[in-house]
Amino acid sequence: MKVYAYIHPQLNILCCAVLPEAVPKNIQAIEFEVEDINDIIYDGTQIRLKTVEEKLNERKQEKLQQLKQIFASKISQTDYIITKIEEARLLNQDIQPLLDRYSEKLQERQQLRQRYEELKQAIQNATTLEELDAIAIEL
Amino acid sequence: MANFTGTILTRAGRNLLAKAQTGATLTFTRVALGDGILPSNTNLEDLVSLVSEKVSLPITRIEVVGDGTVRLRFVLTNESIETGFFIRELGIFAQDPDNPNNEILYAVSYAGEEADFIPSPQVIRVEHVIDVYTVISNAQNVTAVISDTTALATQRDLTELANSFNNLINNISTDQIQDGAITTSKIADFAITTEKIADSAVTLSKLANVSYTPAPNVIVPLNAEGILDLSATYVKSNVYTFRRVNLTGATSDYELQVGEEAYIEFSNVTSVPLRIAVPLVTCFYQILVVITHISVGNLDYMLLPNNTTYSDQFSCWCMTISGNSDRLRSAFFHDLYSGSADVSPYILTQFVSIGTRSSFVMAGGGNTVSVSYSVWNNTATPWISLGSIASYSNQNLSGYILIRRLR
Repeated sequence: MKVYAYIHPQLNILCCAVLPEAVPKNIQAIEFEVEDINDIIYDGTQIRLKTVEEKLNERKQEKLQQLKQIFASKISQTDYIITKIEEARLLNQDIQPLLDRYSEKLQERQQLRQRYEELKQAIQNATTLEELDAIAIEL
Repeated sequence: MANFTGTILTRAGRNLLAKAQTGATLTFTRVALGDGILPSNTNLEDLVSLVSEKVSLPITRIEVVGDGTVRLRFVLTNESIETGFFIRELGIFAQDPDNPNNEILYAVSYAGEEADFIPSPQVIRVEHVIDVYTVISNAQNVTAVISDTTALATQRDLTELANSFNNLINNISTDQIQDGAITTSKIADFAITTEKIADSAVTLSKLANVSYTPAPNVIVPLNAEGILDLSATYVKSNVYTFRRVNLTGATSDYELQVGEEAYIEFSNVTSVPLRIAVPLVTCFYQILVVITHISVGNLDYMLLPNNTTYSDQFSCWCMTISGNSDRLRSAFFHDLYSGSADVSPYILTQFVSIGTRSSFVMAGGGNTVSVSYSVWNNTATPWISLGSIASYSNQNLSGYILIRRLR
C-alpha cells in the first residue's frame, strides 16, 4: 500500500496519510510503498522505514502483551481456588481437602504457566517476523 | 315579395327625425303590412296610418348602415293571419319621444298593383326574412324595439356568428375568464392533455393553493431518476428512514446528510476510504462494518480520521473477555484481543462523535466480543474527512460498511 508520510507542523509528530489528497496543502510528504502502515517511523531526525530488527522487536512486544493478556484471562478463571486455599491457611484450617478437591484445576494452572513460559520464550527467541508470526498464542 | 319602390318619410316621421337630430332618441317599434288601396292623388307623406293594416310584425334586428339610412329586419310570416291578402302597403312605426304611449307612422312604402299575395297558413306556411331601409339622416340615437320571440337567422347571420364565435374562442385571454368560472367539475376527465398545454405555459404564479407538499392521500410521483423523493421538503414522514447512497468506488468525499446512509463494499484490501466529508463539528455518525473475510487472524481495526495516522495522539481503551488494554495509538483503535482467533465474520458497530472527537466500538467475531473507546487528544487538527478504516497489521479484508449520519 502507498503511504504519504509527513511531520505535523504544529505537533511535530509523524502522520501517515493513506490517500495523497489527505496530505495538508503546503506540506511536503514522502511517499512509501509498505505492507503495513505501521512500518514507517520518525526517529527524531528523519522519516524512514523501520528496520527489520525494529519491526521484529515491536512485534515481539505486541505479541508478548497479547500473550500476557490471554494468559491472565485464562488463569484468572481459577483464581478463586487459590483464594479458598489461602483463606483456609489463614484460618489454620486443613487445606488438604481443598488440594484434593481442586487438584485437577491446580494441575491445569501449572500447565498454563508452563505453556505461558514456553510461548514467552519462543517469542523472545524468534529471529524473523515469519518465525514470530508462526507462533500461535494458544493456551 | 311585393315590389316596394322605397320608403317615404311621412310628415310626422320627418318631424320625429328633426327631433332625433337634436338628440332625442329615435326608436322604431314595428313594421306593419296592409292591403289598402290608395287613391291616385294620395300624398304618402300625409299618411298617419296604413289604410288597411293586416298584420303587425316585430323588428328582429336594426343596423345603422352609415350612409344616413338604417336597415330594419323583420320576419314576414303568415302564422297570425286568418285570411290571405295582397301586400300593398308597408309602414314603419316609431315611438313618439314626447309621449311614449303614442306611435308615429315614420315611413311608408306602397306597391300598388305590383303587390304580392300572402296566403293564410292553412294554405301554405310562409316565412321570409325581409330587410327594409329608411332614412335617419344624421340622427345619433337610433334604436328599435327588438322582438325576442321571433328570430330567424340568415346564412349570413350564421356565418357572421360562427366567425365571431371562432374568433372569441381562439382568443380567450386570462382576464376574460372570471375568477371561479372554470371549476374542476366543468372539466371532463382527461380533457386537458399534455399536448394542449404549451411549454412553460403553466407557471407557479398561475397555480393558486399549489404546494410541493402533496395533500393527504395523494400518491407521490417518482422523480426523473425513478426515485421516490423522501426529502423533508417534499414528504413529511413520521417514519425514520435512511436514504441510501452507494459510495463504493467513490473518488471524492461526499457530504452525507442527516438521514442518509452510505454503503460501501470492499474486497481484499488493507484500508477502505469512507469518502465522507465532515461539514460540522456537531456531526454524529454510526458506522456498521461487517467483515466477511480476513486473510489472517488477529484483526486490529482502525479508523483513520482525515485518512491519516497521527502518532500517539489517540488514547484507546479496550475491554475484552481476554483482558483490558490502555494505550496511546496513532488512530481510533479497536481490538478483539483474542489472539489469532479474530476470524470472520467480524461484526462491528462504531459511533463517532466529531464534536467530542471520540469513538465507541462494540464488536464480536471469532470466539469473543469486546468494546472500546478512543479519544483523539489533538484538537488543533481539523477533522474534515471521516477517514478510512484500516487493518492494523496488514490483513486483507473483505466485507461491507454502512455509515449513517445521525446528527
